Amino acid sequence: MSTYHVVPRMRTGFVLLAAVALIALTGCGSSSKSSSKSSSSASSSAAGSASSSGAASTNTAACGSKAGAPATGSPINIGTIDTHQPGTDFTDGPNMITAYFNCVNANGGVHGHPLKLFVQLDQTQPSQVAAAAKQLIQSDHVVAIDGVFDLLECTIDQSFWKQLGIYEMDAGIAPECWSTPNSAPVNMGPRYSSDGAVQYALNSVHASKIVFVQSNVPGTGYIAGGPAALAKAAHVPITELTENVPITDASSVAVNLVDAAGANGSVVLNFTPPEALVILQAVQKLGLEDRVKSWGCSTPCDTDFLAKALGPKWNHKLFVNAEAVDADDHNGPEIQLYKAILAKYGSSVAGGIGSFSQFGFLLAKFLVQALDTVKGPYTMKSVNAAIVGIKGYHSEQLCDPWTYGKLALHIPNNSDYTVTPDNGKMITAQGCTQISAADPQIAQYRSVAKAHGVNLG
Amino acid sequence: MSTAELQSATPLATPPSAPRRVERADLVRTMVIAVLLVFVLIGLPQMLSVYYIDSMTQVAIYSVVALGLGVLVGRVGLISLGQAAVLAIGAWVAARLLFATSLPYEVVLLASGVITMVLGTLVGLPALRMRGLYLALITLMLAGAITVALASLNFPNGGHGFSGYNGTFVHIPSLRRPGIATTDPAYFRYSVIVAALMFLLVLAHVRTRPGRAWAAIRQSEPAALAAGINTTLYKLWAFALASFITGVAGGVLAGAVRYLYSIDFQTQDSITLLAVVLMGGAYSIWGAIVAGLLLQLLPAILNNAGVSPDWLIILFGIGVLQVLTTAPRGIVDQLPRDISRLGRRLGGLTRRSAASHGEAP
Repeated sequence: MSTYHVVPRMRTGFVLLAAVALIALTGCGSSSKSSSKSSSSASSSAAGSASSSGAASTNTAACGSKAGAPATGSPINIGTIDTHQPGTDFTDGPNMITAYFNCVNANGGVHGHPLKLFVQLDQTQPSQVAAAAKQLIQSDHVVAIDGVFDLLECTIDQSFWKQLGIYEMDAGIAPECWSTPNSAPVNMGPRYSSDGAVQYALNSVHASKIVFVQSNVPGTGYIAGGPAALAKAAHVPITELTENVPITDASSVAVNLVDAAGANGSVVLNFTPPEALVILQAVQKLGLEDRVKSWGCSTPCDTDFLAKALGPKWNHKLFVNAEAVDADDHNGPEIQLYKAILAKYGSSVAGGIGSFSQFGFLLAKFLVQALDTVKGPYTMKSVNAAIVGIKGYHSEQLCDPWTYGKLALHIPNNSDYTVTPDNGKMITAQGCTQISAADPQIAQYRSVAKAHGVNLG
Repeated sequence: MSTAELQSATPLATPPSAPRRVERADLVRTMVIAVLLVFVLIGLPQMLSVYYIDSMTQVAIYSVVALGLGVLVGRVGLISLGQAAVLAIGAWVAARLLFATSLPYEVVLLASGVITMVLGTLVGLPALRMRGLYLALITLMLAGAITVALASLNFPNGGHGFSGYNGTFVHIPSLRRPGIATTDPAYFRYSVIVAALMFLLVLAHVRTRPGRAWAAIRQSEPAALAAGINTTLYKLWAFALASFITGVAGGVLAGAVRYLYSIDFQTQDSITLLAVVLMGGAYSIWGAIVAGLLLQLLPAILNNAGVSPDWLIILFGIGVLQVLTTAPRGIVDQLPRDISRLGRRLGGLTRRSAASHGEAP
């Protein structure tokens, strides 16, 4: 058979295959009302898995109102938008929320209604984030937005949520997560976490100079604004540096940082663990760890992975801001529930115990508590009224009670811990400490919150 | 250039009775396009959810970008891997003007097109001396340089100074849209109209002297020179046209997304763009629309179905391989042929089946 005869058949075959694939995909998109990736399991399957493990069932029963009774009512649809791209995967947060929802659904649900989480993933494209918000509202008919772990979402969608009367709960990164009326995060984010790390260096280490270094990405000016204000208030000079990531010449970065800080200065890093590790290992390799008074880091460094990778040389030399309690270091009832849910329902939470899953747990817990207060049907209006009405919800994991409220800005998590490496683990170096109001944003929040009668701990 | 276009460019080759048939065919084609455009402008926004309206706005924008690359690759035979960077320049200029001035949106689009045209033509200067792989490499490097520069400069966010960027903002303002197109469906219509105008502009070039000159250069540059064609002028003209329409597309993109970040314009996007242009059909204007659909609608469908759009890079790789080996004119040429071949085959089967039934006692 000649090539002439083979090629047209190949083409027809390819076209048919492509057409079938496209029809199948389009069908998937249009035939299902719930077109987002719905990651909540049906109540029956959750119940099935709940009853299969007696011990875990005892531990996780506290998440719902009727232990062991699966929720059978109409589902309450909740939406979230999360960054998921090579190198930046925040899906542990929504996966933990799904785990919590599955636990609730297996134990009576919310007044008998199961919770269903619709997850929209984005690759840091503004148009995609905006479209995802519309998809959640118009196609998935969600009544609330909870558990947003995204690089851009707060910036892009805040006006859309305001227009709809939606009050989102998130663990954000963009400045608007803290500075707008329709968003309240459970985390502190890069700015206030960096504030915490600088504050420790100023008040506990008594550094005579601060060198604050972070990755060279959009928004560095906003983040550096906080540490600069704290240093200025303490009359301590601060040098702000940025480094392009990934860091290719860690040794020269390490030498520059040490030279800039001097013997009585402190270096504070605001990097993700891989980049922070690269710098700190270069410091160790060059034997520079004792050439400054202390090393600090914002929350991302709060992982046992970093503590293990650094080794005992860094014990009590690196001080890391922690926005929530160290789950390995505490064992109260809430932490036990968190660990039990993670063990039983959290197989998709790739990072296991860690800040992402802790924030996911908190976002789910606060939402369920708010939903419990709703009288009558679960509409967008009633659910969001309950969310914005959240006042003084306690958690073992946060220093202060968590409040939403109709405020111009929301920084409800504004007290933090400090942890330090100790033979491969992070342990608490300092308990709850309020972030200084020298940061004008913190001062503004406290003033607004006080005027609205919010208990600031 | 398609055979029909080449024929229309060489009237001596046309038999005396052909013009009337060509005119009738042109009229029918124009009417079909007009009906299709009216459907897209009026019917489509009624049928689609806002999620897909946003996606189709992106399709309109990236169809124009693909059209610009199609002019270079398909018409002149110049492989440019810098078009994503040219788009970023257009978006940056538009964002800066939108924040700094209250000029009508159309003026901003025109200005971003013209400024991008000047810068894009500079990118095209190496094309005067090189072709093929070397030109692709040079344009890719220039695109990389532009991406790095934009990453340092950042996109304007309402700040002051040349860059218009203020990193300390705790509340970033959004970019405005034209007063007549503030809602998503209205902005979709606005984008389609701008895209249609850009397509008409390119068509006007393709059907006249520049189009014939580009076809000659693509066939053989020495032969074009020997025929007295100013190849330098026409190659730069192609870069200027491609940059102008891409700059305008950047301006439309700024209003569509309303927030611009340098991370959204990666150097490798130009490679993906070239892949979809080749898949759609670099030699046809319709191919640009197919490329826009592949680049923007397909990821939206996958995302909606819970499948990571990252997989598309594999699909595009296979697609380019398939197109290069079996259908150099792209899907836009292959699909109708294959459908008609399939129709004929099915028709034959039906006839044979009917005949066998008829023969049966």
